[in-house]
Amino acid sequence: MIVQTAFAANAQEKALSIRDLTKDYPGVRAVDAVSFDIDRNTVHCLVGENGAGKSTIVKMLTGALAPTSGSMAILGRTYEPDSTQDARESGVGTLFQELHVVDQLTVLENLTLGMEASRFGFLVKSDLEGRVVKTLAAIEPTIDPKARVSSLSVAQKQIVEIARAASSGASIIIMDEPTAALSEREVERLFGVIRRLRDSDVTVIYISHKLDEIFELGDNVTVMRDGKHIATKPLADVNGRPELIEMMVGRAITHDYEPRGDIADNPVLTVKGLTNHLLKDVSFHVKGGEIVGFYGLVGAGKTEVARAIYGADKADGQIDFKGRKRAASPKEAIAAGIALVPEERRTQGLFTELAIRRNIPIMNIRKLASFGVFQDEREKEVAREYVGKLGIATNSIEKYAEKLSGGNQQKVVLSKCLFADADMLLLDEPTRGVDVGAKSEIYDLIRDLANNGRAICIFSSELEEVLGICDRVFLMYDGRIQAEIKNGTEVDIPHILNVVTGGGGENK
Amino acid sequence: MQRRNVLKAGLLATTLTFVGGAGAFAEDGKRIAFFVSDLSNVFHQSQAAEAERYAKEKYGAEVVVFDGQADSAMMTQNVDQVVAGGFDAATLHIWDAEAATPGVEDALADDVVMTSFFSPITDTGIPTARSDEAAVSFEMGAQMAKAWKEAHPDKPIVMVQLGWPNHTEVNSGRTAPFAEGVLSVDPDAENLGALDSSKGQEAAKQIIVDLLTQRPEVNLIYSEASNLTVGTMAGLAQLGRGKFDNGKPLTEIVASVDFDSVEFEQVYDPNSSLKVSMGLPPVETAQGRIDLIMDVLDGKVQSTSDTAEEFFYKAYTVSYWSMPKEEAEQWLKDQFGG
Amino acid sequence: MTDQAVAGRRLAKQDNRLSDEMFITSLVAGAAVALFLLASILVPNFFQFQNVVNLVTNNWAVISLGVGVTFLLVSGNFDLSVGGIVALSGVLAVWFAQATDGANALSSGWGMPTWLAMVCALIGAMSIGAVNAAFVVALRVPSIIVTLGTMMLARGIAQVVTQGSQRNTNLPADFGTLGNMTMFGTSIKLPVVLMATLIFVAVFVERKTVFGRLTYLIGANPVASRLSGVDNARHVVKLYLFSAVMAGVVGILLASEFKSGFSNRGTLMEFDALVISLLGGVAIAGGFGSVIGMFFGAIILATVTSAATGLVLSPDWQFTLKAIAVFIAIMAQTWALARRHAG
Repeated sequence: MIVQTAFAANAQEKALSIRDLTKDYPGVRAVDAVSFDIDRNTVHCLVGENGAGKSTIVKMLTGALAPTSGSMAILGRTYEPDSTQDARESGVGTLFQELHVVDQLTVLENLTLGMEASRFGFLVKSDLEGRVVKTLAAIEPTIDPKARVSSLSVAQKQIVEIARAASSGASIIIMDEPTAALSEREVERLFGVIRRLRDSDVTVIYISHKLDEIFELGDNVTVMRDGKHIATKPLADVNGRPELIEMMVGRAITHDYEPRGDIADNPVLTVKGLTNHLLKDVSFHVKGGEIVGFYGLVGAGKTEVARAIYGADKADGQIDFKGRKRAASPKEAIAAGIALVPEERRTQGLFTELAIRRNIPIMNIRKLASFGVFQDEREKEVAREYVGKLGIATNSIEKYAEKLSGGNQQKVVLSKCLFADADMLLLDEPTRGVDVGAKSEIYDLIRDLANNGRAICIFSSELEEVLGICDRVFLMYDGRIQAEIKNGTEVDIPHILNVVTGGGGENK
Repeated sequence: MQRRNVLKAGLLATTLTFVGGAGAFAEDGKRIAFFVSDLSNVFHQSQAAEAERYAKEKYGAEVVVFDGQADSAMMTQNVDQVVAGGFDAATLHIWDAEAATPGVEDALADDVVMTSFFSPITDTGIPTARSDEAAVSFEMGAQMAKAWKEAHPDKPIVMVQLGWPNHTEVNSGRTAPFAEGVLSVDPDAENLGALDSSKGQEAAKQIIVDLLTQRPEVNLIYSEASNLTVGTMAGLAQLGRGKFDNGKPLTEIVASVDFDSVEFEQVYDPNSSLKVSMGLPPVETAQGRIDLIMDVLDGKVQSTSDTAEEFFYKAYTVSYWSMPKEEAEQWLKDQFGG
Repeated sequence: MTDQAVAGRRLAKQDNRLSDEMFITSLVAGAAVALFLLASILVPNFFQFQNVVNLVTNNWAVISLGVGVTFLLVSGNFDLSVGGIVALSGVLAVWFAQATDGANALSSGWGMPTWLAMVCALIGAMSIGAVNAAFVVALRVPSIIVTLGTMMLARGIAQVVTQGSQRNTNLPADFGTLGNMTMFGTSIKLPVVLMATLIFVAVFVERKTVFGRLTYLIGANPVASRLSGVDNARHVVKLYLFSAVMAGVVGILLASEFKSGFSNRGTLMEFDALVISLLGGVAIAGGFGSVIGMFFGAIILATVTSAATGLVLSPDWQFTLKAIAVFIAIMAQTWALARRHAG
């Protein structure tokens, strides 16, 4: 390793060099003049908080996005992919979080898919099969090439995808959170595969929130923060998790949390031992008038907690809301006074092809009906009322929800919950994709609702958001609540980051 | 072994319906396979019973009835059973001639005598038995034209047919001769042509309503099957037509095919416009089919020819004008056993 | 005047815009009228009031089926079983009502009084709807597959009961009453009046009730509707039962009109019902469409059929003409909607 770093001056020896790479979105600079090199045949890790710019860099590397400015080079040659197909042909393969294997085909057919040689439209047998079988055997001999992919585990499917990238001649393989859905044993096996890849002339760019994995697997690490490049160095030179976390966080997170009074003594919601395919023994309580946050990285189980309380997913364990037993369906939850703002606004929260006014009353639609007959005029009144109250920027309540900006869409979703007269609001990523102005309006609204006695749970992967408005915060990792912290000015941010990246935690 | 035989017997029982003593082989008589498209139909029941009786009495031959169960695949399969079953001859009733052709050719190669009923089997050239529908259709057309001209000499005849415009046998046996019959009486009659009613009685009703609204002058209607006639009469009723005034035509005259007890009431009702119907006799049909097959076996008719030879047997013109009511009643009794 | 009041007034003004559904519906209605006028020019004697009446009275059956099919389509589900149910319920009604002493199997039945036979036949129709609902909702089999299966199942049972043909003898005298009862001293029959009533009720339910609203929501976004507290499963079950009952009533009325239970009755009616719904602007993916649009879709198809009959066109030409009309109508809608959204 160290020997290679010594030759770093020679760009042709670099698997990938990035120079002044910048990506602008309207109003936001997602990646800001980033430059670093990736050595050949290493596992190069990319870390940073949510929103640090990692995925934007990955998208530019795979040709899914074009940089605003800056350049990339593979082995010294300029690299400007204009599509993922183009990137693949230039030797950059990607293992996405969602798998792209075809379940109905065999492993072998999947491996050769899209690579079949053909002449006049007819498939021609070639040495392709032999080559891919060899590649697969080299990285994971236990997978039978003739097995149907549907019979494989998620981990095995991932390996098939890796083998496909490797056998198509990829010299760089990008892996974005590959262990999110894997068990510990499967993770070990994947690491074995990655090491074998590295030893067979492949460079791996590895992105993960789990810092332990990075220390175990990585050769070098690049840290990003707020779209900027912070450091690139060999992991051997990193002084353990604390140094890495410090680089990731940098400054103290600014948050304008003010302790609030008016919190009831008795819990309105008590959850005990919530367990399902992802959650493990989750227990907590929420009081009326309280804003509680659930903070964790992608896949930590935040959304699952929200959905279980809401009756949208099955789970074992006890949920007690104001003396009522758990809801078996969202319908029951709403009837009990719980409303959810779902994680995916456009696909789960809104009817994008319907007008604003038709969206707002949905969660409590019978309130606008007498004897089953819908009162159209009442609906319009209600819609105008909420458009005014929440400041939804639109010229008509007949406008399709689709045509609104993210922030205004989210306000429509919040209007739905408010119209449902909920006593408890579950807000899953309430400000994702929302511009700064709308964000602070939504925060004000949340505080307002809590001040009026409602219990609020915020499920977020943005630390700043959670520390900005929550009274108490549960830190989640791997389906468990690892720690509970009381918000205040002396919050230990490195500790929080340590806990949510798998550093273990104890109640504080 | 035992089980397999049982299974085989079960299979046979589902494809063959033995009328009369099964397994009792005639000593020196011939074994004839008698196909019907659908044994649940009264016409075919009568036909099958008569064929069995007539063949035994006149020729000492044994008839085995093959039920097509209104399923053209079943009819095709039954052709293969003929060779396997060691029959001397078969008279087929097949809906999908194309599909049955290979089976028929195999049977011919095995010296099994083949004849067909109603439609020729593609270009196999086997003789075909048909009822003489054309003569009846012609006569019905002529009678209707005459009755109309007598009642309304000033109103020109406009005729239409409801049925299967693309079906060769229907055209040659019903549509075309009917029009010729009408034209033989009134050469100036206008023929609108045949309309597709293959979807059934609702379609027939809809067509009648649409057509007669736009062309109220239509006055001779040939409804080429009895179930279509139900729709035709319903459509006429909806338009306030379909009536006679004590035997005198008012707005139109209707002809049908496949005279049965339901039509009997209407044809002999002096106030209904359904006045004639083609009587297809199961008795003569069965006899004609058996006679033809025996003629081929006896060498009187060639077993195949370049274009299929057609042999006609009698069909009846059941008519308000030319067949007394009692005779029609007796006819129904004779043909269908009451 | 406060700012809010001004804003409110401005909002109210914008809100009178025609919704997309109304836009498409008026487009379809306009197309139906235009087509009728075109046919009036091309076909002698086409332009008369009786012909307009015929367009509706000739198609009461398929329009009635179209109501259930439209509701299901709007909720994002297919129902291809309605044609089969028409055959089944008609055959069952006849079979149950036939006297027990017939000369052969096809002329003897259960000897029930007419009303009881019809009620039992309706239960038979409903049970097909229940099978649809069970497989679509509980087992999550795609509705197009389930109802394709029950289409064949229903017709299959009808064929078994009629031994592949029909039952039309030995019926009580009053069996034909319902289907042939004429109304208000005109030649218009009860089934046509029932269809008209059904259309009015359906439009009311669709436009004015919570039930109608929920149907659209489920079709527009089933995930969001569930998370918004809608019991999707229960609603879709109700829709399948409704559609099956409507098809059952149509089958029974047809059986009564012709005094026969015919196993091939209603062949391809499920496709006609689907085609008129699509012609009427119902989105095949759900969440969009209207009963009144479906009605005018039926009128478009009926106009083409009627004109073709008046011209005594050959079956091949009739079929081609219908196909062209359907194709043009659906393309025109897609185009008009896209333009409207772009504009």
